This record gives sequence, C-alpha cells and structure tokens, in this order.
Amino acid sequence: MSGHEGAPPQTRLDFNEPPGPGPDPGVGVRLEVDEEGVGWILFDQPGRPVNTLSTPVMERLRALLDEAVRRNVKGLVFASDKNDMFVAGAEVEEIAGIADPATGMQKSAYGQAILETVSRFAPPTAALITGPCLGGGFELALACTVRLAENRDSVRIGLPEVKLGIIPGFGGTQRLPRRIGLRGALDLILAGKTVPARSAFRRGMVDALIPPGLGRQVAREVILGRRRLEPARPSRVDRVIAAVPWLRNFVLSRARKVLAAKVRPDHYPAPFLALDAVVAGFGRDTTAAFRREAEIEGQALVTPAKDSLVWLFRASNRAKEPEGLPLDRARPVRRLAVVGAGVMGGGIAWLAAEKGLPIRVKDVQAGALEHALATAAGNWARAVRRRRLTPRDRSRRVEQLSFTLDTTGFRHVDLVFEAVVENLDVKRKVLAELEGVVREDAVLASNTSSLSITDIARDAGHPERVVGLHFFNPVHRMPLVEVIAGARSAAEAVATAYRTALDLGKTPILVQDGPGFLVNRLLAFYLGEALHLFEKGADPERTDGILTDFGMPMGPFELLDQIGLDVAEKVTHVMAAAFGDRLPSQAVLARLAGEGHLGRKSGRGFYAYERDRRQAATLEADRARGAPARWDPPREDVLDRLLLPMVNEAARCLEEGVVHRPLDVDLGMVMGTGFPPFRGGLLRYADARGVGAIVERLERLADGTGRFRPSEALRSRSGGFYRP
Amino acid sequence: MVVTERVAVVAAARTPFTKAGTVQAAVPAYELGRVALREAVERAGLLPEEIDEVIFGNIAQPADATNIARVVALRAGLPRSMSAYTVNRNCGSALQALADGVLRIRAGLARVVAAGGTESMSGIPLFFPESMKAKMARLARARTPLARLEVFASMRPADLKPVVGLLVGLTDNVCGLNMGETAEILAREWKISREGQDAFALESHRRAAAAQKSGRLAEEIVPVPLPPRYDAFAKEDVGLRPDQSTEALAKLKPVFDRRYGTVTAGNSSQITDGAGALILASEAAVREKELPVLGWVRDAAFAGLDPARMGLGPAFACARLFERTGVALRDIGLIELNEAFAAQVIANEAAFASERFAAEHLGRLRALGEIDRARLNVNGGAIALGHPVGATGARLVQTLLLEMKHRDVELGLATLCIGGGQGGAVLLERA
Repeated sequence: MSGHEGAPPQTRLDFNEPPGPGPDPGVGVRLEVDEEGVGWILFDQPGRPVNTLSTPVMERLRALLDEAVRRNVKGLVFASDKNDMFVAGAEVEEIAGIADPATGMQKSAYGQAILETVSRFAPPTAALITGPCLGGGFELALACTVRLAENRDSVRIGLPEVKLGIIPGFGGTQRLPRRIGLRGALDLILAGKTVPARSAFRRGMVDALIPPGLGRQVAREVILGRRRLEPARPSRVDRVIAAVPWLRNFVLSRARKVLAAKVRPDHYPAPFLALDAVVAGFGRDTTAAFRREAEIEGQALVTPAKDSLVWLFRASNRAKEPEGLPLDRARPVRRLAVVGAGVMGGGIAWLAAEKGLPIRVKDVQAGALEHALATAAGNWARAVRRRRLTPRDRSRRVEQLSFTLDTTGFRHVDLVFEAVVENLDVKRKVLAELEGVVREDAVLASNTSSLSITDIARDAGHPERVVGLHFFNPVHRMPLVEVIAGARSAAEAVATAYRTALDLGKTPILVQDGPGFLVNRLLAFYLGEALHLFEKGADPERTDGILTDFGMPMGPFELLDQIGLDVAEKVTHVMAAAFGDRLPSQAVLARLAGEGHLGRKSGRGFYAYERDRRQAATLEADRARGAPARWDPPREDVLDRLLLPMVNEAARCLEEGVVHRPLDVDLGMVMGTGFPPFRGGLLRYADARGVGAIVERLERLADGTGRFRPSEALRSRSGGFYRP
Repeated sequence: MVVTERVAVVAAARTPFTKAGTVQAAVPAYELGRVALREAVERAGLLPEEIDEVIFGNIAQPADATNIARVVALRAGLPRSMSAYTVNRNCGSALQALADGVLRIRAGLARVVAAGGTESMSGIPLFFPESMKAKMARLARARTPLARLEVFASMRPADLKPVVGLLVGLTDNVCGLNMGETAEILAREWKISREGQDAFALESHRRAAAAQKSGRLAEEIVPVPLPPRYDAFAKEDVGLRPDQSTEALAKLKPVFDRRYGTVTAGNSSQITDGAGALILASEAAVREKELPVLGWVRDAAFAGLDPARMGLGPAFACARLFERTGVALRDIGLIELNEAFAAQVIANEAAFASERFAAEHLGRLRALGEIDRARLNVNGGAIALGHPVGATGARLVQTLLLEMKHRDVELGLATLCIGGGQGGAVLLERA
C-alpha cells in the first residue's frame, strides 16, 4: 500500500491483500477521476434503493483507494449516484450472520482499517451526503476531512447501531466525540438518534449545508481549494471536558446513570457497550482504543438482544409483503374520513394529517370533534415544543383536518375509518349510513377490537368493501395495525386497507376474522390469568414488577388500567363466549367498572393516578376481590402462568389460520403490546425456552378445568416455531 | 346580451362571526378563509381540483398574505394549477367576488368558481406614523455609530404615536368623513330618531338570538380550530346579545358626534372577524357533476353615489338591478339589507318608499317600494352578527338562500352599502 504515512491500526487479525481492482460492475462502488483530477468514489448498489457497506463493497473500496493513490488524485469525494441516498449503513444480513465474537471483532477491525486509510489519505477527502447517512455510512463520512450535506428532506444522519443491538464498530465511537464533542456524541450514540440535515449542521456533524443540487459542484470547489471550508470543531466547553479527566469522567458517569435509569443492561446491553467503547477512547493510544472498540463490537454481536433486534428489523420489512395478499391490487387512497371522533378517531386523524392526507372527521357530537382536534393538536404541540416540528409545518397538518356533524364531504373519500363505540347495532347503522354516501369502491374499515367484521358487514349492501383496520392505543406510539379480512371481504379492499396502513407508517399484519383477532385474543389469556391470580391474593405491584423485569413496558394491572376497565370488561365477555373453558373466570373487572373505577381515565382502577402518574394500588380493587390474604407465588410461576398460555394460544392461532406466519405473531406482540423487543417476540422466546419444555411446564400447571392444557397445535411445534 | 345560462350557488359555508378582539382574534384572515372554503367545497361534494377559479374579497390586505385568495385556496387543499385573485370593493367585496364568478361562468371562462370573502379586523395593524418611517429609513442607511446616534436624537414622542389602521380604513379618503359620520348625516336628513334606531337594533339582536337558539345559524357555520394550541373550536357567532334591552341601548353615548349625534355603538354594526365562501357552478356543470343547488343567481348590480351619504347605496344599486331585471320590490319575498347602522337601514326604508327621492336621484317615476320588516333581515343582521367587511356579502347570500328554501320564497334580494359611496345588490332565485 504505497503512498501512506504510518500504518493502519495493528490488529492480530490483518486482512489479506486482494489483487488490484478489476472491472466488476456488480459490487456497486466505483472510482471516477474527472478532468480536473478530483477523484469521485460513487456508490450505487444494483437492484435496491439503498447503498450499504457490505463486505464486498468494503473490499472494493480498499482497492479503489489504492487506485486513487496511483492516479494521483487531487482529492476524493465520496458520493452516491442514487438520488436521495448516501450510505445507509452496513449490510444487515451480514450483521445477522455473525455468530462468534472473534469473527465480529475481525469484521469490525477490517472496517476500521479501511476507514483509517480514508482518514490518512493525504489529499483532502469529502463526504457528500444526499440522503440517509447512517451507521457505517456516517463512520465513513467521519473519516473524511470534511462532510457536506445537501439540505434535502431525505437526509438523515446518525449512528443508530444500538437499535440493532450492536455498537458503531468502524471507528464511530472514537471519531464522533472528537468531531462534535463528548456530550453531543453520547447523545447520538447511546440513543441511536438520527437527525435531519439542518440539525446535523447545527450539531457539527456536517461542516456545510448546501442547497439541493449544488453538492457536487461545491464538493469539487472545496477539494480544489477554490472554496474555503473549516471543518466544525467541538465547542470550547467540550474541548475542556475532553481535556480534563475528572470533568470527562463526570460527564461519562452521568451519561451511564441517565442511561441506566432508562434501560436495563441485561435487557439492552448495546448502549452500555457503546458507552464502554467511548470511554475506551480516553487514556490509551488510538490504536488500542480502536482495538477495544472492535473487541466490544465482537461482544455485542453475539448478545441475544442483537439477534432479536436484527431479526425484528428484518421481520418488520417482511410485513411489507403479506403472504397471500396481492398488494398490487390495492387502489390508490388519497382522501380519508374517520367516523367517531373519540380517542382512536382523533389518533387516526392525527396520523393521516402527519402523512399529508386530507381527512374528514365526523361525529354526532360537537364536543367529540373538539376532543379529536385536541388529541391531534396535543401531539403537535409537544413536537413543536421539542423543536421536532416547525409552526409552519404544524399549520400544514392542521389544514388536513376538516370536521362535520353530518355526512357532507364523504362523496370522494377513498377509505373511511369507522371508530365509533364498540356496539354492533351502532356500527351497523353507521355502516348503512356511509354506504348511502360513499363511492361504490370506497373501502369501509372498522377499528373494532372485539366485534366480528363479518357480523358488522352482515346487512351491508356491498360487504366486499368492509374490512377491519384495528389500530392500537395510543395511535401515535403503537406501530401495529391488524388488517382483518371478513368472510366476504374482497382481496382488493383488504389490499387497499393494508397498503393504507403501510402508507400511514404502520406495521400491518394480516389477520382472519375471529374473536379478539390476534393480539387481544392472546392478551385475553395473559390478562385473564393475571386477574385470576389477583383474586387469589397476588399483589398487583409485585406482579407488575415481575413482568416489567421480564421486559414488558408495563405490567398487566397497569395495562388494564390503561385499556380502561370498562373496555376490558366488555372484551372479556366476548372472549369468554369464544374460549370460555380455557379462560379463567373473574368478577373483579365487573365490580370495579360497576363502581365507576375505570382505570387511568377515571383516575382510579387497580392503581390510583395523580396527574397521570401511577400511585399506589387501590383499596377499592382489594375490596372488589374480597380482600384475601396476600399470596406471593414464586416469580417463575407468575411468568409462566401469564406467558405460556399465550404461547399455547398462539399455536392454535397459527393452526386455525388466524395468522399465516409465526413472525406475524411476534410482530403483533412486539408492536401491539410492547412485548420485549430484546426477546424478539413471543414465539422466539418460546423457541429459546424450547417448546418441549413449555409443553411439560403447561402439563404440570394444568388443572382439571382445561386451563393450561397444552394444545395439539403446540405439541406439533415441539421442534420450534421457527424451524430452519 | 341575452343571458342563456343560469349560474347556481351549489354550496356555502361561513365561519363564526365573532367580535374583534374575542374568540377568533388570533386567527389570521387567510386561515378563516381557508376553513370556509374547504368546508364549502366539501359541502358541494366536489374535489378541490374541480374548482376552476377562486375569487375572494378582502379589504385589509394583510401584508403576509398578498393575494389572499391564492393563499386561502392553496391552504384549503386546492391544487397548484388553480388560479385565484382577490377583489376589493370595500364592504361589497364578497358580493363583487360573487359577481365576478358569475361573469366568468357566463363568459365560458370557468365552470365552477369559489367566491367568498374573509376579514380579520382584529388583525388590522397599528402603523408607525410617516415621520417614523422616514427616520427608520435614515437609520438603515446610516453607516457610522455617530450617524445612527443623530437619527435617534431626532426622534420625538409624536413619532411613536401609532396610527390605528382600522380607524384610517373606516374613514373615506375623498370626503374625509368616517362611516359613522355618514350615518349621522342620514339620521339628520331623514329625521331618524335615536329611539327608532335603538328599537331597530334591539330587533336585530332579538332575531339573531332566536336564530342562534333554534340552530338556524348553525346550519351556516363551520367551526374554526383556534390557534395557537388548536385544542378548541370557535363554534358560534359572538357579539349578539340575547339579553339586549332598550334601557341598555339608551344608556350608550353617541360615538361619532358626542353632543348632537344619535348613532351609538349599540345601533351600529360590530367590528368583526369572519369569512364566508360560496361555490358557483354553471347549469351544465350542475347536471354533469350531479351537484346540489342552494339557489340561482339572476343578476348583480353596483352603483355609485355621494360618499358622504354612502349608506343609501342599496337604493341606488337596487334601482339599477330592478331596471335590468324587470323585477319590482313587491316581487321580492325576502331581503337581506346589510345593517351597517340602524340609521342607514331606516334611511333606506324611507328612500325606497319615497317617490320624490326616486324622481330626484334614481331617475324613476315611481318609488322603489315599501320594505316589509317582516321580510327584512329575518334572522338578524350586522348590528347583532357583525360586519367583517370583506366577507359580509357571502353571509348575506348564504343566509338568504337558506331562508328562501325554508320559507319557500321565489325571489330574494341581498343588498349593501359600500364605503366610498357605492351600493351593491344581487337578485337570487329559489332552487
């Protein structure tokens, strides 16, 4: 490797030098030298909309750097030939495939070495960012002399590795703090935050913000010295922090404390490992620091969390291709309407407006319309306060909403969300009213959580256009939508609804019509068992704590309070009617709801709530169960009693064809209930425990009533839900 | 020219009309217009791209929304390909927008036109006096600290005294009188008592309150999301007083002539924020797109008169309208005559009925006719509901058409006086 001063960082695992670059159009990166002698390294991976730093690309890059030296370029610009794209990171499939720390460390060291070559390249280097610049792509940019970003909406810059369970392993934990300061770097790396162009410029992540279209010209000027550009430097405060050991340690330990308060290291080790890597950059020489980063990356790559998170990432991409549903037959949806301006209706209106789709909001009560407006406006007010939304963009969103007390304005809508009260007669009436005013090919999508779509469409004039689109509460946070095909729903209508859910930024799963669809059906067993334990004397706070330790965002009793005890009560009736013998009976919900204790919305349920914060468990709840003696079953028992029936029921759901694939169950649970992502999902958890072991455990728990009895469907999965 | 094609009003919507400085004070005029226009399009059952032209009336012409019609239209979701322009015929602006729309449709230049008006009188700015503007220009040109100091030293308290844009706008440039002063002239010349004006005002409030209570006004209104938090709507007209009384009115002091005047804040129209929009379509478009019809526009007319007596504008405009259409006052089943001032309405009543006035000023042998109060402003008028200058014409037409439907009335007349000495009138037919 001629022309370099100094050697790349020493690792035990040096790479072998491949022969010089031959013509190979398949890899997706090439070198062009223009008439002024500026070298352009252009990324354009064939066959996909993104560029990644896969191993073949990295190998090619190495060779191109050599060639650039041989051809004596005046400088190098890294740019993308794809529009609205830079380099979106490493290849997720490769990350998924790494199974031992040594390989992980080697891959990391390899990448570090190549980027170090870039960083030591004698003539100036520039990264021209014209789209997503994430992970390894940003690490490449950090290795350059300067970073230029075009001011495009598509630009997003950051190091989101921790979201996949790994850490920035191509030098990012070392270079980013030196570029933008320790505090800014920690803020980005530990949360895996990505920011748009203007914010990146403010933070010093890029050195220039350029009008779209002028990037290449400016890059050339900078390389040739015709335009001066000072790379951003950390602020004076950050320079002091970096230089003064006790200050630095204070910042680092504070960051660790703050992180620990948000996230548990045994659940999500990656942010803590990333912090370790950043710490490793101080107090040792650069070579050792880079090696430490590679070592830590090797550790991260083999954590179960990484396997789960990467798998979830790939699974949610699979959601874009539902099995057995011809998405290409979806009709274009440009105008929406929602009937029923409650909490869900308001959330749906907010969602449509976020995506720039005009939506007509209808209710029979003016007060409800106001509530829907306030729900949406509250979300936007928060975003404006946090500077994530400009007031001008907020006005644009408000402008998408229009409100009515009657059915004017429905003539041209493509899809109507029905989100009225959970009552079959009311829904049928609303449907009939809508059928009188909408186009024949408009899709009518019900947000029902407990009624059958087939039932709702029973008297419809055109039942083929009635489907279910079940959103989860709160709409602005829960990514999941269950797309329900009724018995008479046409494929076009279901496809249209599915595509709409995707366009609204949600993760849909295709579910057949049935009580509780998928998620509520599984939850019925989870919550039912929790209530059963409660009636026997289990302490709600302890129970909830066991489940949050497991990784659920909140435990079953807090979840019941969140859903609303009246809503939960209604749903249990529907579930009991369908699965009666398998579900435990309970009377607590009816009693509490009857007394007006509805959970969070009324201020009291299983817990009391003050200013929307959970307080102590209530006496009313204890009274409602007859104040039995306190009973603390072993933690394992609590977990198994609550989780394993869900696994059992999930097997039945797969067998009955409620959903097609195990990954639909896992996506549903993770995105609809917050089932811990670091475990990958309910069925990945089941496979990790071993389905056989689960069957045994259920047999031991089974009592005479039929609860817990392992189903045939479950037994037939004894090799694992995800057989390779 | 023989007019062959009828022009329909297919839908209408207006925002609440609220007293300036109250509920909608923070809503910019373009936002009021946007809400009214969007709703009118929805009520018509049209797609935004089906609108060929948008014409909006506005007199304040806010600096941040030049050609407010275009701003309103784009924000209401109309595509960039539509064209839009703003008209200003003072109080008759919305009526002028309507007349323009009808003209374009009849000329074959458009098939569907959105016409309306919007005004935020709360938003009319205070101005720095000219002297301050000159000094600020010098300041901008000053290069050295010393030069800047010189400019500052030359400033006087009078330079800071704000000019109230609203007051300037309500004062006639040519004759130098403000609108209220012209009403006082009419009150004197037509011998209209204070009691008569107050009684008229009381009736306006009473009728408006009854219409609000019965939900009649709600038929016209679309609620406006209120900035900055957007967590509530303006839902109702604000300004009308269900509890208005003769005593309360009698207590008020005359505003425009403190010593000898009879025109008070109580018997004048209110300063108000609001917008209204009408969707007009050719008869062919109505058939082809299966549009609902609120009513038909027969004709519109405008006429000029002495600016100092602008309140009599309706008499002049209606004379012209009757002549053109061959219709007489007795053929008209319902009238909306804008209540700029009680004195002005009553003066019109007298002028309409006076044969001498008709001969001397209107070139007619016979009087225009007797206005029957039972058919005039039956749901209240601007004294109770307010007069957002650029938008009023749209409200008059909307409320008239709705009422014509309710009462099964064949012909309706909407007319108003226009600051600067004009009158405007439009003849409407039942659907």
